[in-house]
This record gives sequence, structure tokens and C-alpha cells, in this order.
Amino acid sequence: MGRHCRHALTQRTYTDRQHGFTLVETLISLVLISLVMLSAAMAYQYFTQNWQRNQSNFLDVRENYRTWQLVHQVTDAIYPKVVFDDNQVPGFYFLGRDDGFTGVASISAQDPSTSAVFRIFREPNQNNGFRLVYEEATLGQQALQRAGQTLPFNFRRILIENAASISFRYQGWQNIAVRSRAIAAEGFEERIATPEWFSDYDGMERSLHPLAIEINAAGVVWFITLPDSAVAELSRYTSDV
Amino acid sequence: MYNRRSQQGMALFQVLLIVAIISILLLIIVANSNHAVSQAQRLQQQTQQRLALYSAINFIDQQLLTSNWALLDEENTARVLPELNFYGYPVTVPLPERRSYDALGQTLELRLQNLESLISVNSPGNELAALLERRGVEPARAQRLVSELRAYTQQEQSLHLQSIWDVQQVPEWTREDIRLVRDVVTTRGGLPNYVHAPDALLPVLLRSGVAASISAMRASGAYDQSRYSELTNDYGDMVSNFFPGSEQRVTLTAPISGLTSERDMNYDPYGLTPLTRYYGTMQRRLDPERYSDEWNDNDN
Repeated sequence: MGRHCRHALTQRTYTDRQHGFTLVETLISLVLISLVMLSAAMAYQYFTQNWQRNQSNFLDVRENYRTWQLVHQVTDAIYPKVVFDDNQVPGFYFLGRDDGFTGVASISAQDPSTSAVFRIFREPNQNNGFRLVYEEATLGQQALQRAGQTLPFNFRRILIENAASISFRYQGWQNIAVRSRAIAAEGFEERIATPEWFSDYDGMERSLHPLAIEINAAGVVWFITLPDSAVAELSRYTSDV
Repeated sequence: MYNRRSQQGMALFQVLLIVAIISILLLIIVANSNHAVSQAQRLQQQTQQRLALYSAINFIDQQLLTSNWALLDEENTARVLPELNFYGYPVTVPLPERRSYDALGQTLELRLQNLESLISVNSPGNELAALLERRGVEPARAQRLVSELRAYTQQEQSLHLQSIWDVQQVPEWTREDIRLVRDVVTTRGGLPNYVHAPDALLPVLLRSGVAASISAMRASGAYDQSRYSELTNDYGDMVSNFFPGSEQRVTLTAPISGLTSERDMNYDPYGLTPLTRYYGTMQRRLDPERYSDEWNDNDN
């Protein structure tokens, strides 16, 4: 009897262990897991949104970086482009004002296999500040020969979205006569005329091209150096330089 | 009994399913974050390499402006340039130990190509036609291209070509034609100085045996302008000389990243002490102890 009872008890215990989860236990566990899942899903959604926001910022930064790289390559390839005015007098296709400038580069931001006329200028934005804008007109098969030639500008890119102030100035010689006197003085005088900074620089009026451009965006200075080959270029067209 | 076992199996399946879903979500998150982090790291690396290259370009310019091109001036302790050649063979330039150059490694590869030793598109001749033919253009078309270019540059009130890509404004010329020859032509160049012509141009300019000899000498490091004169019987004259000009095509390559910069530069050397490109109070690098007036002026 005792053995039988012990056997029955052992069997019941074994059977109880086999029962596993009851419906209530399963439901409770499902509810708990659902809550965990819900929390996880919400956390994931928050994480994803945050990530996408960061990624969007990252993509903007990357795009901005690419644009700056392209524009930097263009400004690195600026050269003193000779053109004629209406009286067939040669000068340089460069016009710098205190709100921007137009110049010529041997490559374009859109296409490295063509030269381009480009302009970098400031324009007011909605926040009472300024944005710095780049635009260009690729030359391709179109020759640039006249100072007054009309060109279709496109490829507009915003380089700086919001700056409290943006100013431009240009380093160069006063005009071709001053430059020529400085060349003549080389080797004879210890100190010769030096280039000056101007708030405007017209390559046709001065018959010269600037040596450097300074763009000051609220204290951040972008300094572009240009080749000093204007006199050599002009000497191909005139006999008195 | 059967139902209970079935319930037990269902619970296990549900748990496994949920664990699998969570694992997949976690894997997606990790993959996304890894991808974005590697993208950001790549961009940072590229930016650092580019900025380091820009910095190194200025350093090399400063070296070229203040070092003697012809001699290894041993007294110039700031000089890092090795012996230079002007026909586009690479030389290795060690960079100073600065953190800003870390992204580039310890050295840069520098190639200088004298622009006067290239074919000028502003004075096209038979050499250009021969070059076009060697690069695969049919002889008749090569002649036509040269004729059109000559007509364009010689027309009345025409402008000189200032950018090589402006050649596409000449009738008959296409971008592909320009790409074929752009490594050995220039819009610059004064009197031709073929002592420093690149190897690719030598067969067009010289007899094939002479061209091959010059290339072999260059490869062995035994080439200079006297060897050129011996081989070609061209000894220069009062008008044309064999010294490299101020205008050079400068190609810098970072060996690690392969980043390359190519620029046509005018270094304006002034005798043996180059004229700096900044016209300040001092015109030349006057150092009376190292450079006497005789040194400064003996090349002008």
C-alpha cells in the first residue's frame, strides 16, 4: 500500500510537471511579451526616426561637401580670360563688385571637360542675413570672345545658407600702367609698387586681372589666389607691354 | 494530455518567433548603423586626405619657389626636394612630420612637366598631326584637324586659346580628340624646348632610335641636356635655351589614397633665386651669405 501510494504520488508529480503552461499563463506571458514588443517597436521607431534625421543631416553635409569640392576645383582653375570690348580692345573677363564677382575657369563644376563662366555672389535671405550663391554657364562649343556676351547661367548652388554679412574684395594692381612700371623697376629698386585691395575690380577697365579674391562671410575668410599671368596674356595682343 | 503538450509547443514557438523577430530587428539596426558609421568615416577620411593634399600642394609650391631647381643646394637645410626632372618622371618628396600630413603618409609623388616642352595648340604643326595619328586618328582626319586649328588660330582678330577644352570650339574637333592628346599638348608655351619633352612625345619629335635612347637614359637616370645635344646635334642658341621654363604642369599623387592633383603653374623663377609670387616689399629671396649678387643675376 505504502509503495502504491508513493508510486501514485510520484506519478502525479511527474504528470503535473508535464502540464506546462496553462492558458492563463500563456495569455499573461503573451500580454507581457506584447508589452515588451510594443515598447521595443516604439523604441525602434524613435531610434529610426532619430537615425533618419541624423542621416538626412549627414547627407546634407555630404552634399554640401561635394558642392564645396566642385566649387573649390573651379576657383582653383580661374584664369585671366582675354576678351575684346566693343572697340576691339582686349581686356579681361572679370567683374568684381562688393556683392560678388564673375570670372572664367578652365573647368566647370558640372563638367570637368569644358571651361565655364561662373559667378559667386551674395543675396539676402528670409532671416535678414545673406546666402552665398554659386552659378555658372558652361562654354562647351561656344567661344567667349566679347565682354558683353550674354550667357545662360544655371547650376545654382547655395554655398552658405545664412551669414550675418558677406563681403568681397579683390587684390590687384591699380591698372596696367602701374603694373608695367613695377615690372620695369624690378631689379633696380628695392621697393616697388605693391598690389592693393579694391572693393570693385573691372578687368576690362583696368586691363588687368586680380591676383586674389577675399570673401568674408561673417568673419570666416575664403581666400582665392589667382595666377599672375595677365600681363603675359595681354602681351600676345599688344606690342607696347 | 495531448492538448497540454500542444500548448507547450505553441508557447515555445511563440517565444522563438518573437526572439527571431527581435533578433532580425536588432541585426537590421546594427547593419544600418554600421553602414552609416562607415559612410561617415569614409567621408571624414576623404576630407582629411584632401585637406592634407591641399596643404602639401602649398608646401611643394613653397619648396619649388625657394629651392634651386638645377642644383641640390646642400646649404638649404629647409629643402626636401630630391633632384628634379622636368619631363614628367616621378620623384618622391618626403613630407615633414606634421599631424596634418598623417592622412597622406610620409611621402608624395611629384611629377614636373615643362610646358614649353609640350606641343602648343596655338601654333599647330606637323608634330600635332603626327601625334594624332600615333594616338589612332586617321591620317586624313589628323591633317584636317590641324588645318582647322591653324585656320582658327590665324584668323583675324582671333583670341588665343587659353584652355585646352576650348579647342572643342574649333570646327571638326571633338572632346574625344582633345582627350586623346591632352596629356602632351598645352595652350601655353613659348619657344619649343624639347629637351624635356615627355617620353610619349619623343617618337613624334625625334627619330625613333634617338627617342628610344633618350627614354632609356631617363630610365637609368643618366639623362641631361648635354646628352640630348649629343644625340640630336641641337645645342640651342641665344634665343632658345634648354633650361626648364617657369611654367610647369605639376602633378602630385598621394601613394596611399591615390589622390591626385594636376595644375599648370607659373613659378616665375628669377635667376637662381626664384621670384616669389607675392609682390611684397622684397622681390627676391635675398640671402647675401648664400646667394651673392652674382648668383642672383648670372642667369638673366
